[in-house]
This record gives sequence, structure tokens and C-alpha cells, in this order.
Amino acid sequence: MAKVLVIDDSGFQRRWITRTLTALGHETIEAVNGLEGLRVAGAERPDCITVDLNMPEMDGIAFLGNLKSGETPIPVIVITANIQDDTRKLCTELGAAAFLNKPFKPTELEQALSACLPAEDGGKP
Amino acid sequence: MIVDDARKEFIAELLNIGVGRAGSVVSELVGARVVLEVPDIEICRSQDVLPTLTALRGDDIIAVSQGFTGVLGGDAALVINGFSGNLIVHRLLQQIGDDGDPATMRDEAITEIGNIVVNSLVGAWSKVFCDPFDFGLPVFRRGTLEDCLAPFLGTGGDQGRKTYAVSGSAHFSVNDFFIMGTLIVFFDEKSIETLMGAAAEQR
Repeated sequence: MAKVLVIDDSGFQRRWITRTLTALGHETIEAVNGLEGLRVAGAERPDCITVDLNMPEMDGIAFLGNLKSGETPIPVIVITANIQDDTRKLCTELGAAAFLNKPFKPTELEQALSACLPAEDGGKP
Repeated sequence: MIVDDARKEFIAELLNIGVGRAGSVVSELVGARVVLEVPDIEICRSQDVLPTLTALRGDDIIAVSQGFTGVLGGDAALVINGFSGNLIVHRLLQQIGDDGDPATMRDEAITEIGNIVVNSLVGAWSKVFCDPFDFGLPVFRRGTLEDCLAPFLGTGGDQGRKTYAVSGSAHFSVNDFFIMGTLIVFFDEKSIETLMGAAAEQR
């Protein structure tokens, strides 16, 4: 199973996402904004990252931009309340592997993870 | 500025879109069918909005507001009473299988619900106006209605900037429970003129 970094400034939303991931058998680590997310990603090397967009300090768009310029690509799933098509397009251009709208269904997150993880970590064989 | 019936109808429809989406979001969150009554839409100057919100009385009112900028600019807020907030959070925790204490998670959970509802409301307008919106961070306030809406009523140094309030009060029923929520959008002067222009084009 995979190690997933959950980045969201809402404690409630982090709890929601981590509970879903834990139920799927994954290990989770957390960060409260993009800046902390970059630090944790560098130190912990997660297999996958979920990121909110609207956060203080560093938002999800800036996080995606910074991560994209890093050395090793880590798949990122954007989980946001923002429903705008332009936002989805921008995230895709910045390298997001998947884009989910809040409130997400557990099956949606499971499918997104499965699509971007290697088979040994629970991804599609 | 005169808001005639035709323009009011157009603006009401914009808020209706959001109220409908809010109902859908609440339904998904609590895992139950939500029966949504037709919302009562009010358009007035910001400083006159409090007396129109007759269902939101008492000292346990919750508001989650979020600023937005784009072709329209202003602040949108989800306002509910404490009882409705407790009920939604209780159902939400049941739905996601969380055995945590609703009381300790209520404020954060409602902030997140407000964030989702406001994004649904304003995000839907991006399709109507073919223009994207940017959002500020959600702000949680609790107290009397006056406390919760004070920053938007033109009494805190903002007078003249945010001049109009468009509110839609919706009654949801989830199973046997009634939940009353109100969506209020405070528009600046330029935005209300843009709205009026768009309404005129619709006629």
C-alpha cells in the first residue's frame, strides 16, 4: 500500500481524507498548506499527494508549480471545492494526475489513486 | 439604483442556481435526500438586510463567508442557526463513519461546508458569465446575526463599497428534520451595475 501526503488547511477535511485513505489500507502523512507540503514531500517522499487549492501561505496552484519544477515527479490528486472548468484545466496543465470536487465520494478517490499508483502500491496492474 | 421586477428575476435566478447546488451538496454530505423549497429572494442595500432575515434570530448564528473577485466581486456567505449546524455536522460525521465529537469538530466542519457551498454558488456563475472567479479564504463567524454580518453592512469603514445584498433563504428538509440556511451575496457597486447590465441584455 502507498504512503499518501494529504495537504489541506481544513483539519476537518484532512480528517475526512485520511480516514478514507486509511480505510483503503494506505498510510497517510499531513500538511496544512503548500509550503509545509513541499517540505514534507521532500523529507518523506510520499507515493502520492492530495492537495487542496485554496490555502494560506502557499495555495495548491503554487504548490503544483513548485512540485513540477522538482526532480522526481510525484502524482498529485487535487481535491477542491472549486468547480470551475478553468481551474481544472490549469491544474491539469500544471501536472495534476486527477481533479476531484468536494464533497468527494470514497470510490472517486479510490479510482484516482488506483490510476496514478503503481500496481504494488494498490494501483491498476 | 432601481431594481425592477425583470432585473430582480434575473438576479434571483442566479441565486437560485446556487441554492439548488447548495441543496445538492448538503444532500451528498449528509447522505440523504434533501427536499428543497423555493427560496425567498431579497435584494436590498447591505445596511438594510438584517430585518429581512427574520428566521435567523438568537445568539447562536453561524456564518461562513468568502470573498470573490472576477467579473463580479463581493462576499458570499452561508448563514445558518446553531441547531441546523449541529444537525448537519452530526449527519455528516455519521455519513463518513467518524466517531469524533461533533461539538469539537463543528466549527471546522461548517467552515468546510460553507466553502463548498459558496464555491458551488459562485463557481456556477463562471459558466453564466464565461469568466473565472478567484476566491479568498473562508471566514467563520459565530454569534448574533449582527455580529456575523457586521463586516458587510457598511458600518465598519466599508460604507459605500459593498452596497447591495442579495439573499436567498432556503428551507431544507432532511428525513424528518428541517434545516434553514440562507445564502447572502454582498456585491460592490461596480458588480451590481454589471449584474443590472447583464439582466438588461437578457430582456
